[in-house]
Amino acid sequence: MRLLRLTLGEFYFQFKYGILLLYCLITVVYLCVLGMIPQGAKITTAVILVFTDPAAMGLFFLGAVVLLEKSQRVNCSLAVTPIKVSEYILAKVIAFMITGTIVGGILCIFAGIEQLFFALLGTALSSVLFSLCGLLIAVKIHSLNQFLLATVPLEIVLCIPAFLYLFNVIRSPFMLIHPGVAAIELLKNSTDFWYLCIISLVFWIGVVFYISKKATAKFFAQMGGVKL
Amino acid sequence: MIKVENVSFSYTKAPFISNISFQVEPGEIFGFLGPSGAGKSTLQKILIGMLTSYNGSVKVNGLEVKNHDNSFYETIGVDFEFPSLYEKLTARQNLNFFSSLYSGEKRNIEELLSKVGLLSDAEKRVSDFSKGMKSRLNFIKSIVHNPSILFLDEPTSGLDPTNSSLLKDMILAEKASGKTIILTTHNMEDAAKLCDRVVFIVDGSMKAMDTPHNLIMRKGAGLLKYSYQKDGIEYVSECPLNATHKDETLLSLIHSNQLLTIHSQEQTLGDVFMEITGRKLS
Ligand SMILES: Nc1ncnc2c1ncn2[C@@H]1O[C@H](COP(=O)(O)OP(=O)(O)OP(=O)(O)O)[C@@H](O)[C@H]1O
Ligand SMILES: [Mg+2]
Repeated sequence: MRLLRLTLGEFYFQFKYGILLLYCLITVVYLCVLGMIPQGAKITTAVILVFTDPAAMGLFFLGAVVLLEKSQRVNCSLAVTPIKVSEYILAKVIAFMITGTIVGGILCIFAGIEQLFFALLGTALSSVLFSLCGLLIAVKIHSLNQFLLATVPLEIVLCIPAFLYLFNVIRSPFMLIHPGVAAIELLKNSTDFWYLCIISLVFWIGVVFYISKKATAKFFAQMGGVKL
Repeated sequence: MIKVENVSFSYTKAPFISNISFQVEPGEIFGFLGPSGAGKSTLQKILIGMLTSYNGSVKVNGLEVKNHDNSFYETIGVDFEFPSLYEKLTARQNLNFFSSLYSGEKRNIEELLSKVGLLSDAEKRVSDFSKGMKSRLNFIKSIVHNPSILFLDEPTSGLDPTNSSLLKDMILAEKASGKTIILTTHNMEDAAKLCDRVVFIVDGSMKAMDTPHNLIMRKGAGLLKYSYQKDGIEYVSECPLNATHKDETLLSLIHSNQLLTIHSQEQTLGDVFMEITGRKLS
């Protein structure tokens, strides 16, 4: 129940910080873009948009939320309440997953992606993965600059192989080990390997969750705060 | 309620907090007193389970805090030395949110707000609050879940005299309702007024621990200072309060109504602190 309250709280913060508004604007802009794209390229474009946005934005947004909490030292207050580190992480990740998946779903439907279930699953799982990465970076760093410095290489590592795969530059089922590739594959749902994609994403989520949990526990104990 | 044995800790390789041992009884207000950088807040962080890499033993409610789980925080309340509130939320939203994270009986938020004079600002965003308003909100936030042990780190710093005394009265009211309180301060008057016992902390170690009264008395009685005129010259003299009967000059001056001025000079806790530790407070 505490998890539910925390998650609702996160939606409220998304609203307060203007993140929900930003998501709405992005959706409208992307829908316009999709509307202008010729039929043949629509699905590929939608896949890129969903992958880089509703999914990957979690990395920046969740990171930003944590940085704000840090700057207001709310992390100290939270650390002395009965909430568990895992609840803290889950609430944030779930809130961003839901927002991202809704936006992703709208884009997918508009683009006419056929197997919506896999597309949504792909959006949700990659959103979780990206959000966890954002959290991990945000709890580790001490300034906004450091945050940007750390997120850009990570975005590259996660996205470049995925795009190379999407455009058939490199194509091999082994690539599915890479979570970005697995996400793209699920979004496109052009594969018989959907279960491998899910296993790959869930595996990476597990790994990052484990690391973020350790890092967040440490972060909870940190009183330093951060300058923005 | 709280039992600290031989605790040492450091953020770095160099020794810092060392050899700390004390015990706090239920219903007591126990004060940490010391200059800036002495390690008071660090010690508090150890007691509330935020720094777990200490040596020695810290038991709160019978539990070694190193091994605490999340339910540990159901019964303790922490007021940090800095505001730790959601700036974008209103005062009431902050209190509601934090209160919702606890199970068990909650305090009435209206009542808390009105007690610290923030009821009319309840719908204001915390970012629009003054420093003192944030301090007061931070304080009531730490007691919304009605904890039995309170850790207050300089709760009155940054408050004007009216609000400071209001807050002190609230702290005494918490004590009266049976709470155990750890109070960190570098204000000697506050410590003397509020604390049942205090510990002097300098450079991470304990220099003295007793009731404020005993500490003041330990250094002997206060002084009586008086001045008088003799042959056109003004003299100033003094004698210990507990030996006035032996001061012939004073006695004769009293008998002849010749005293110009007379003052008693009690030691303050600040003087005692200075004498024991060789350091000034703040
Ligand atoms: N997170 C931290 N990492 C490293 N050093 C720290 C950290 N927090 C505090 N210190 C150092 O520990 C020492 C004691 O700090 P502490 O906050 O406990 O002092 P204090 O007695 O509460 O002082 P004040 O009265 O100013 O609040 C200081 O030298 C400080 O620089
Ligand atoms: Mg301090």
